[in-house]
Amino acid sequence: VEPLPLTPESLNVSIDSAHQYLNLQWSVHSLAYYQELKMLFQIQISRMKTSNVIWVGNYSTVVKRDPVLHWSWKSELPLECATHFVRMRSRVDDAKIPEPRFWSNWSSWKEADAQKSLGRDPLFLFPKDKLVEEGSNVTICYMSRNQQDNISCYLEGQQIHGEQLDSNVSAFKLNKVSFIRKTGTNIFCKVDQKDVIKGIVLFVSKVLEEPKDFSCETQDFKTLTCTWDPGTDTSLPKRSSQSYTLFESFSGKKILCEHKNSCNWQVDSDSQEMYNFTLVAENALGNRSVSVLFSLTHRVHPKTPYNLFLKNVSGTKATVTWKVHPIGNYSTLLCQLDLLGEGNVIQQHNVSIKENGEYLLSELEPDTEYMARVRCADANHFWKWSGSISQKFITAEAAPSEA
Amino acid sequence: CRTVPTYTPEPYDQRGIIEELKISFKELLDNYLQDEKGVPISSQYEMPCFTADPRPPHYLDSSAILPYFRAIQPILNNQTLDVVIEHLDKLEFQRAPKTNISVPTDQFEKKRFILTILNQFSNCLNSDLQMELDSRPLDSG
Amino acid sequence: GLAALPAKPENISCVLYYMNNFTCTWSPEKEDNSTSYIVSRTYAYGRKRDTRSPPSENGTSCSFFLPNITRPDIYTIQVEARNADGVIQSDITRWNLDTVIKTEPPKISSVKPVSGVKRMVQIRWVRPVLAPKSSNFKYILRFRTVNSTHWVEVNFTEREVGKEAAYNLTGLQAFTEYAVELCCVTEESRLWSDWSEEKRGITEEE
Repeated sequence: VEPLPLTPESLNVSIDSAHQYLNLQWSVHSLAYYQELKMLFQIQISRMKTSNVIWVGNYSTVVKRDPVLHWSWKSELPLECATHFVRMRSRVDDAKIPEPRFWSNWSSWKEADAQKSLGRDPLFLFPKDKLVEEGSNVTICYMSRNQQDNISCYLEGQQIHGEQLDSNVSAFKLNKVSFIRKTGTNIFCKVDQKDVIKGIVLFVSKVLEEPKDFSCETQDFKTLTCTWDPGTDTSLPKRSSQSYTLFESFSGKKILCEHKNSCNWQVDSDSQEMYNFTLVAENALGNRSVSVLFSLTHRVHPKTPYNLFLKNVSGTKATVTWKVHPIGNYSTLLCQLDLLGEGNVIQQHNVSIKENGEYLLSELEPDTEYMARVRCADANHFWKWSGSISQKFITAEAAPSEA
Repeated sequence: CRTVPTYTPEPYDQRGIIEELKISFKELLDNYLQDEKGVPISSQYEMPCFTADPRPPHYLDSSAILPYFRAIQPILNNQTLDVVIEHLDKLEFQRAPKTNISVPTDQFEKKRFILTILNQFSNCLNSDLQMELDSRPLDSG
Repeated sequence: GLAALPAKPENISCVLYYMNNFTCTWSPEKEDNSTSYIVSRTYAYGRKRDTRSPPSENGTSCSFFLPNITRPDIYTIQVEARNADGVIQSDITRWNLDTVIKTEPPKISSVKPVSGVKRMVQIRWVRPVLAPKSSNFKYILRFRTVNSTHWVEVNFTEREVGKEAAYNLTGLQAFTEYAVELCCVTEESRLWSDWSEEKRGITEEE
């Protein structure tokens, strides 16, 4: 039978100051009987002194033979400002073991003292040059070497008051910090009556927004152009840049976009019909994404027609000709021909073409100025009109027989 | 391309340069104070002012000042600062060997360094230099 | 065929459009597209040097831009013309920026009589925004009755540094509408601004 309970052994605590994490590593005496056991570990964390327990929590996991286990705890207080102590105990939490199941003894307290690596300065302020998102809560703290020193602290020049954690340590809880400027929020503390000042910059970035109005279209079945509204710029010089990546799930391909609001995707010759694009906006603090699924032929946005000419213009008739940029081999374009007189559309005709357009306008008034205007769209699946092209013309004076 | 002589601006021109320099620098300092609140000046950083050539007509020399402004130029990345440096370049009387000023890497100290330099140069422009200029004849160069 | 060097650039003329650019032109007009130009400049009283190659569509004109333009300063400008057959350089020309400053024209804000003062109007205007703050301005004011084509000019210098300035135009006809225009130049420059927009005002009744 398994010698229970299994006390956690060789608990080791390392400090990740930059991210304010305590990283725990420990092991449990090797299982003699079972391959694996579901266990519950209860962890206590104290600050300043072991009796001052500030956090208790459970960690459940499946323990295998000769395991090394890991777990991390995120401190809201910068770890440099206080010595922390960690201990844990365990209990089997597995149906294979009948009740009652007892807690093991506590491991011995393990100390995590980040202050050992600090220099001899009389005053320290943390966290140094932290990057956070607007709206988050941040705790800053100072640690003074001389307990008699009288310390005052200022945020953007305004004095702030904190909670004394120890005779020489105070913490300041900043709730829902807001963006002030791209070069960061200025915070400093000073030893009164001495020229001792220590400051930090808190880099607050705007909240990364999900890209809006994300859509893709093609003008030629060779290139897909995706566009979107990036929303607020969250980039901070030398701190956090904002990038956009386009994934396409059917082909499995992805590209890093050069611009913040558009991206060109080369359409392969095998003319893949369906596209499932995911656009990922990313900065140093996280990412947001948006997807769109569409058929290539349903996203044709033709180029503006060209070479719009009027020929055989008589008193009452005129022939309009124009050209369009061909799109793929089988695409037909539906072109809308407007005839405007004095700015108003007086005739409108639809013409389906592949490359060259022609239409005979009739019932015109002699010696009158008109405008012919053409735009086109995909005939099979309407997505968007092309740009318009227009041309003014004046009908001939009425011939004697016509007068 | 024949080499072109380096002119030293005559006192009258130096006065004109200083006047334009004051206008650009005031804009630079005002903008920086407006942009960065809550940054105290530091007594740890000391920047010299203009020096004046002991021999008449006592040309002003900015060569001790320029390295400080060149050090903060890439940090601020600001066109007004570029204009200030252009003016200071014209007052570089003797080509001093390239002095590299080290800027604090700590972000807050970096801001204190910049503010302290700008503040000291403001005092330099407005007090020490003014006395120097006032003590000179107004003859046009 | 015979080697044909490009023509030597001459009649170099430069203007400092204040807080905008420093532009030089030269002759002869660009002969053909095979000739290209490189303009070499020294500035900061000779301490610095750079070059610009004007795009071919600019013909025989080249501009330098901020922030590397600050007055007062002394520039030298030399233009090099190059074609397949070789290179030819202009003479080195020297420019004191203060003498070639050209500002925008002033903006006349009003032309009004002063209550109780006959045969006079007061012209108020705003100094060119883009102008050396420390410079005094010389002005030419020209005026005519609206139904005349004959301008009369008045010259004066104005030392006020403030944004708006004023001038009293006296000796006019009573109850008559006058058109007024203004142009200016910084005291050391020889390049006058263009004329301002015309502004009209009427003298008081007798």
